[in-house]
Amino acid sequence: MLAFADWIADTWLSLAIRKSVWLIPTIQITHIVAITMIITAAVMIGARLAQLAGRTQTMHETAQRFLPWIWAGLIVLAPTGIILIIAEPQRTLGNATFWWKMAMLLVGIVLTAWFQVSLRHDAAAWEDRSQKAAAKRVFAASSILIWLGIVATGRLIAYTY
Amino acid sequence: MDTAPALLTWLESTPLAISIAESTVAFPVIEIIHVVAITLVFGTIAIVDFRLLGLGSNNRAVTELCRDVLPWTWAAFGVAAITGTLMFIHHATEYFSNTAFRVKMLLMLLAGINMVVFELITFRGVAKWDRDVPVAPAGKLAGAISLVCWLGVVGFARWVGFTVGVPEQ
Repeated sequence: MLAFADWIADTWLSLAIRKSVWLIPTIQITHIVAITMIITAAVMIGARLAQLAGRTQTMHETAQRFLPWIWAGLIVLAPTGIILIIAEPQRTLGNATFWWKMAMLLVGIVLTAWFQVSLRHDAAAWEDRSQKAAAKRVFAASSILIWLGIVATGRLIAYTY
Repeated sequence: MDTAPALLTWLESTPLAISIAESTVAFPVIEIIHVVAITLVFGTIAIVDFRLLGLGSNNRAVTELCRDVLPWTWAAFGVAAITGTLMFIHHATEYFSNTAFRVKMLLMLLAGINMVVFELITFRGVAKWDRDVPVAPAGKLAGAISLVCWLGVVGFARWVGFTVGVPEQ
């Protein structure tokens, strides 16, 4: 992996990105703005699941409002993240923190997709306020922790490199 | 002697500032909490701004959405302000003289003025555009100004990280 990282670092593209003073900061800022969309959307969905916000909205309406923000955020995160990896491959590919982040990203995507499919399949079940349905709500809301973990490890990459 | 540099130096010499500067864990932990808080400040304000601009949550009344979302914004802002202060005091002189930091503070001031104008003047007429019709132009303008200011705050906040602790090129 490190040899691969070294190889990427020597490509013209990697060199060109690093040569620019403003490119990496600008891409990082775009990356962060995309993560704000995801964190906010996940917190708003989680708050609705916990009945702490959006109580006038159905679960379906809340999801319709905020799930697209999560997917849109991911669509921006992927290319900006890839550019940052190409620019400084050793910083990420050889860094355990980065791989923790990627593992959590996978969990976050699966959790979000599961929630979306489940809601589409049976929206009424998500309005069930009974004790029995609580576990499912807690599980869905736990994706907030995954996204927070992704932000934390993302920031920590700078410290562990 | 100027009072500002003296005050900044005093801030850096407080036990709290010294313990942050000397700890290897404190700064990254404070910074991560600050980043998470700032994402929620910007994101939740954007929900309201999008509604004012007619770009999202249009099925909800402006007043109801504000009541629902803005407490989250304030809570997140409180966390961001506390963590931001902690980061500031540990290198007060350096942050204070940093251009990106100053622009960020200025943008927050603008966002604050925009909010006060919106709350005290524009929001008085909210009954006319609370739901089903487009928000009054002044409300749309407030939403647009807010989005631009907070986007700038996030951007310049990141820029502070690239420029503080880096010698002038």
